[in-house]
Amino acid sequence: MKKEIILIIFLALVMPLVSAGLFDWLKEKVQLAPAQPTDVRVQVRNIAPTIENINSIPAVNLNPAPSTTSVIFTFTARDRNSAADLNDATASANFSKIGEQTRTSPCTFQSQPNSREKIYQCTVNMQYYDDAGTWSIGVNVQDQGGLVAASSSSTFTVNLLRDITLSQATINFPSVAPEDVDIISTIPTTIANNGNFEVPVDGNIRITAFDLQGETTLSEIIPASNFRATGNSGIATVCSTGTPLVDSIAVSIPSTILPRGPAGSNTEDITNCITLVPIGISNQFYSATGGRAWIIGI
Amino acid sequence: MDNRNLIFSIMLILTISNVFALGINSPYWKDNPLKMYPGETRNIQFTLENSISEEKSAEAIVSLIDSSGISEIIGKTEFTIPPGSKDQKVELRVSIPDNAEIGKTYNIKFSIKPSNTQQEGNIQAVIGYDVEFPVIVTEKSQIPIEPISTTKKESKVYILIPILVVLIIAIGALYYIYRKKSNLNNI
Repeated sequence: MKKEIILIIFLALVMPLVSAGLFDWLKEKVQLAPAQPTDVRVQVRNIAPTIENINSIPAVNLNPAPSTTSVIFTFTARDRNSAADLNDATASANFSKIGEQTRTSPCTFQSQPNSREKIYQCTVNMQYYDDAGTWSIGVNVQDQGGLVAASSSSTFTVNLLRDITLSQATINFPSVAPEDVDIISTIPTTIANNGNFEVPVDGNIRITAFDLQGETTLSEIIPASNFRATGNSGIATVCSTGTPLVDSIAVSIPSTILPRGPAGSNTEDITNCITLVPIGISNQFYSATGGRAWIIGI
Repeated sequence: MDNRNLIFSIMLILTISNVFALGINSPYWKDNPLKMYPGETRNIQFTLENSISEEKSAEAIVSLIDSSGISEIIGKTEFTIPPGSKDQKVELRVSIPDNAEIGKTYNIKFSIKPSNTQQEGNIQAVIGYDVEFPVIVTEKSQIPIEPISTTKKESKVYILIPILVVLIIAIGALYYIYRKKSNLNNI
């Protein structure tokens, strides 16, 4: 008798997990001794929804400043109580990466593929300076009872964007005379970072200089090696500690820092110095233009 | 405004409007190397971009600086990139030799320079990029499938198994009770 009681209690516990059709069969076939009808009461509880699928996001090419980049994707949520139990207004997505500001966005209902699932579309805006590398995708949605379905098991890649602009397209010096030393460029060249490439983390600023040729007597030159360049941190001593430039060769300027970030926080100034104007060159303009233009790059 | 100031102003505007603006998106870089297996050939693309805020197209020339003996530029090397454009691609073909050692790293480098430079001044400054990325020779089984996605989908099998087990136990228990009841009736 004791065994039967235990079994009855066990059955009462497992029955909610079995289909309702089994109760009908139970009523028909089983008569507990002494034979007497028994009331059965089952509460179907609210089950937390789940995230079934997050559509993969191909590698993202960021737009350069000042634009943002809209990353669009979908995810599927499932609720065993019915799709109508999902609260569309709570659907949201976020992209995260350690050390980066998390990008978030609400998501909108897109379609209902069956009675228990809904597909949501999310558009998350990323900034031009968001770090390159692997980002995590997080999505979540609640049901009407406030139970949450969340997933952050998917990732995607943000590509590396090299994009800089120069404040002016020329490097100008005041008038000089043979044997003059340590003449600094009239205004520094400001480099603005419009992408997510970071100096010196991802590489350096490089200058490819060319000898300045006489505009009248082409054979007379001011060699590129008579120039030095530096970043903001070395302006005061550019003529002595700046990096010497080399004709036709890209030279890294190690003193430069070009951060990625919003406008105003993403610039570096390059200052140049002529350490010596060669002796014996004639009075004329010397320049490097066209195919001999100096190349500033990353 | 006297004539001298007017000439200075015009020159300044011309100089500013001629600044070369161009960007390039790289799918591979120092911290995100391209992984390929011996004997594999793959075409990879780098996207040229010109900011939507620019007033005119950028013109650029691409040239391979270091092919490492495994790469070549396929398609065009001269580009005109309108403002807001994202559909201009530099395409490289990378071929790993059959006998390449697993773990070997190749470095590929190409440059992008403006093809149209007409500024005035002592020294004309233009923007250029040296795009450099490593290629690591890897076992074929270790090459990730792109796009990388680690989306986890809940399997229905794992839900059905416990339900099935509970059903079997319940049926067994019911059968036991039914038999017991039959025995009692017989007595």
